[in-house]
Amino acid sequence: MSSRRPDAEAEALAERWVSLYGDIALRTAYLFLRDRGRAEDCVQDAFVSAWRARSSLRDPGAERAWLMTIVANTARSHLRRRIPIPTDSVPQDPTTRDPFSDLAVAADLRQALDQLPADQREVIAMRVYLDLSVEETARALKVAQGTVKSRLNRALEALRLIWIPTND
Amino acid sequence: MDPNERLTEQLRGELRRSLAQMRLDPELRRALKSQLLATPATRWPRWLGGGGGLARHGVLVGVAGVAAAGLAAAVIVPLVGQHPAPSSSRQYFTLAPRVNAGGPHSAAAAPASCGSAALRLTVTPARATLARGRSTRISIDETHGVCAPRVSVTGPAAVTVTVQSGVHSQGEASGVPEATFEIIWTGHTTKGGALPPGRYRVTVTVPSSEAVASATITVHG
Repeated sequence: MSSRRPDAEAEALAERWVSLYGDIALRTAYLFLRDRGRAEDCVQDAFVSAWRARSSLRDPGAERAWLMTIVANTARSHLRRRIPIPTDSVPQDPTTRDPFSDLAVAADLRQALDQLPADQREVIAMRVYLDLSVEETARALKVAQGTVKSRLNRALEALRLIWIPTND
Repeated sequence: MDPNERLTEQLRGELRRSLAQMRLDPELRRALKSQLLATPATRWPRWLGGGGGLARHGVLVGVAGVAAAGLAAAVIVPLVGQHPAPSSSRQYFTLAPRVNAGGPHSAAAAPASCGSAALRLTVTPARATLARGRSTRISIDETHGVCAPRVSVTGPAAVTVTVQSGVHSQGEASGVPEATFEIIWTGHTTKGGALPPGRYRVTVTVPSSEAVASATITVHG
């Protein structure tokens, strides 16, 4: 690795980030933003931010959590900007359609998630979907660990009332 | 298993199953990688380059306003001079051409040292269909020359686009000069609103070359 030219190393790193984390970053951003176009914008912004700051990543083992933290923060920043969500009346090709749209039960899940406050959805994205630890989630969302736990508990209580898992 | 743990596991499984279909579009994947490689580790003002979100959703509309006021092209070459640089050097600039329907208006960046008649130009993607207000990025690849591209857009409305992040290099194997630029299609008019539906044609040329490439953007909504 050290014998490689810096450009080749950068290229390898970019390739690794995009191939390893691109999809999961998109899905995470989608859970925050609930719109594919905005999620794609978010991923681009987050990856560029992370790229600029990559020297600050000290522990290579924490790369995924570090990158997803940046995705989460970028998504929250996009939410704060309150950019109007583009119209969905546009015919979409199969690669851009809502991933939930094909599955009736998943639509139920989407509707259930839509009823949750944003802060609870964020905890679900980080703690449940990404399976980050309480500590990592707290760091990503800039809240106390107790807040992560209480938000998740509230989210689960609400979901229990409005969503029936498929395998129940 | 604790009821909360069980529900968490069910939720995790359902989310992963549902979202597994959601993948980055191959073009976006390629564009993202190129964007990363064009982004230095140091910071510079976000609107100068790499700042997709801000550029797409507002700040550059302001730039367009300046353009509308008479500044046809804002040209900034902060990191290197006006000459082609050796391998790995980068040239950044932005320009905000104002383009109206019915006749193309164009803007170009600072003159770069180019002029190779053999210059080849590729624009990717050649076609895109977007929802109203949606932004996108179009890559301009040059080989056998490094020239600031000239971009013009024709369509139903005056549209704000920017060109940024020129990256120069000598080709890995061939040694021929190459450059990559990026057009940011903001999805907004020069007045800041979402672009009206219709077909827009983006034409890229370079001075002192006959090379030309174009892309068609169809806006629905």
